[in-house]
Amino acid sequence: MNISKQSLRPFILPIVLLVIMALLPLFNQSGFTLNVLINVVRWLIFALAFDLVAGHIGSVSLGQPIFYGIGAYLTAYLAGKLGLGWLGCMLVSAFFMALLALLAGLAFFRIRHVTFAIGTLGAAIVTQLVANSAEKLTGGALCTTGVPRPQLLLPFMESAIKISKPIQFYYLFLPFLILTLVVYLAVTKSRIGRAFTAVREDEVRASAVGIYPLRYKLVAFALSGALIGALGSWQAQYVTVICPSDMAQDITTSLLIMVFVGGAGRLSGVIIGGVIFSILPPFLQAVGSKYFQPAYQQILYGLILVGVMLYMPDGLDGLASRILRRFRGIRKEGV
Amino acid sequence: MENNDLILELDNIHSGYGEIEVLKDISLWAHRGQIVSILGANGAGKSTLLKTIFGIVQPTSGQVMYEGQDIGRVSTFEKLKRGIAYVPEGRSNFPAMTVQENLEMGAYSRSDKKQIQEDINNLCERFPILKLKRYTAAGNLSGGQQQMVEIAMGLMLKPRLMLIDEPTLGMAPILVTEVLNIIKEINASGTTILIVEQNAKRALEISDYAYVMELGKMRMQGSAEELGRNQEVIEAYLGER
Ligand SMILES: Nc1ncnc2c1ncn2[C@@H]1O[C@H](COP(=O)(O)OP(=O)(O)OP(=O)(O)O)[C@@H](O)[C@H]1O
Ligand SMILES: [Mg+2]
Repeated sequence: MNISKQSLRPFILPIVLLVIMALLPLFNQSGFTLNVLINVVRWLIFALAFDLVAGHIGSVSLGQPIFYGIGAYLTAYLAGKLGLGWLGCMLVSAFFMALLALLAGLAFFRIRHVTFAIGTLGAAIVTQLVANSAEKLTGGALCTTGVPRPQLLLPFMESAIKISKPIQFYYLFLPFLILTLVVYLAVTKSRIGRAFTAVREDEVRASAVGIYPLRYKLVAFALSGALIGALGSWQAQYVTVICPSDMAQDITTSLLIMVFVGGAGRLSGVIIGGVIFSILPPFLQAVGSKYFQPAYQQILYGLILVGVMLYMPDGLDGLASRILRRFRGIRKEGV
Repeated sequence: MENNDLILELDNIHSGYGEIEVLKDISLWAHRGQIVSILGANGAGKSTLLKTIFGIVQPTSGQVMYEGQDIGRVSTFEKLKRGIAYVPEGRSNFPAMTVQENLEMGAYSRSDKKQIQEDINNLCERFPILKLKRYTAAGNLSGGQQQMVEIAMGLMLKPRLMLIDEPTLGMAPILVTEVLNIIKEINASGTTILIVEQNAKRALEISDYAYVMELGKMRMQGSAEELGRNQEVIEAYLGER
């Protein structure tokens, strides 16, 4: 057994991904490319945060867009009304969404699996309805508009620059993906990650070795909430508009597709799923929106999800590693 | 026997899940060095009893005394530290993890990394099957081998009291013998054992003392010898097998 090779393995794919993503704009800076790349970053962060709970704890929350939406609305207020800087907005949003996740977790983790999914789905629907009808607070269906764009001031700069071009947004967004990857790896490859796995596989067994299931579920949920809250905050400042539909169910559907088709609970799976399914829609649209309306996309996603659940339970990642193993010849397990 | 010989004492325990009361006025004693078995039909409350002792389920009234101290309010983590190990029923290892990783999980409450590896090595010497399958995913082992892993996970804590829930469920007779012999051996090296079994005959063979439960109540108790002479009565409580 080659230990160093083994322990380096999880870092290969994310590093390759980041290098490609960092270099791509040097070759092609078209609006389309940047749009796709920003989309990839956004969905990867979202999917990684989603997977911390769904893949590692094994509790599928259908309400994660709530943290995104509230983080975004909060930022519209903090940046627009109080003039807080972009990073401050992200941090405050992350903090409050972690707090909200803790409280929500205390309520929702009392119920299990199916009921957990349905409970969180209900919460998402209610939150979206409230956002729709609380017009004074959110602008309702007409959305909150005019969120200020970020101003970047680094130590060596004389005056702050206003971030407004896609390329600027992209390169400021990329470090957030790096941070998310680092957090994801640091948590899941550590002692905490082992505890997550234990809780997912068997709660009673986890308790038997001294792991408190609820505690670790809350840790995962809060971390996920914080990341998604910060993402919502960033996104609000990028598009300057935040609508109730930003918390809609099609976002959760996309997350389910990315994580479960890619491979839940595995970084490589989430990356594969996240990249494929965030690149696909814009390409399909470019090919011809006449043939591929959004409604069809949802139907297609539904069918893919059912197919994968039935025939490919460990996702594309599992399929890929099975094929790789066959190529290398079946190696004996180290004894 | 002297009272200070008692390692575990349950006094009038009531316990259950939310509104549902499962255990009704259960009292039980285990002396240091004994193997005590708990017999009973499906749904009698045997697993709930072990969960209550370990603290996964909280008693609504009554007292759990361990080594002379009330452990009713003590966390499960602290109980592990004090030498109580719990081996749940069913396939209760982590199937995706290797045997090595499972054993490390067994020592989750410990922080002495070096000693943990040493203990794993020792266990592998003691139980060759662990050594043979050390880097295999536990889920790929046979039922009996998995049970061995589960017991070994408990042993990672060098427990003074081990709570074992139906270790032989669904096993071929020859494997049952093997697993029970190992439990006997663990007991011989100083660990008190509280074991839940449905196979009364086999359990009584290795036990010093036994309790028979029915519908959450204690129906019978006595030395293994004594109860061994009352097989038919016990079988009646155990119901259709
Ligand atoms: N998590 C739970 N929530 C609610 N009721 C439960 C729970 N676990 C067990 N029960 C109920 O408690 C009673 C006793 O269950 P328990 O598992 O303790 O029985 P047992 O004697 O271990 O049975 P078996 O031999 O089948 O393992 C049963 O009526 C069962 O339905
Ligand atoms: Mg049971």
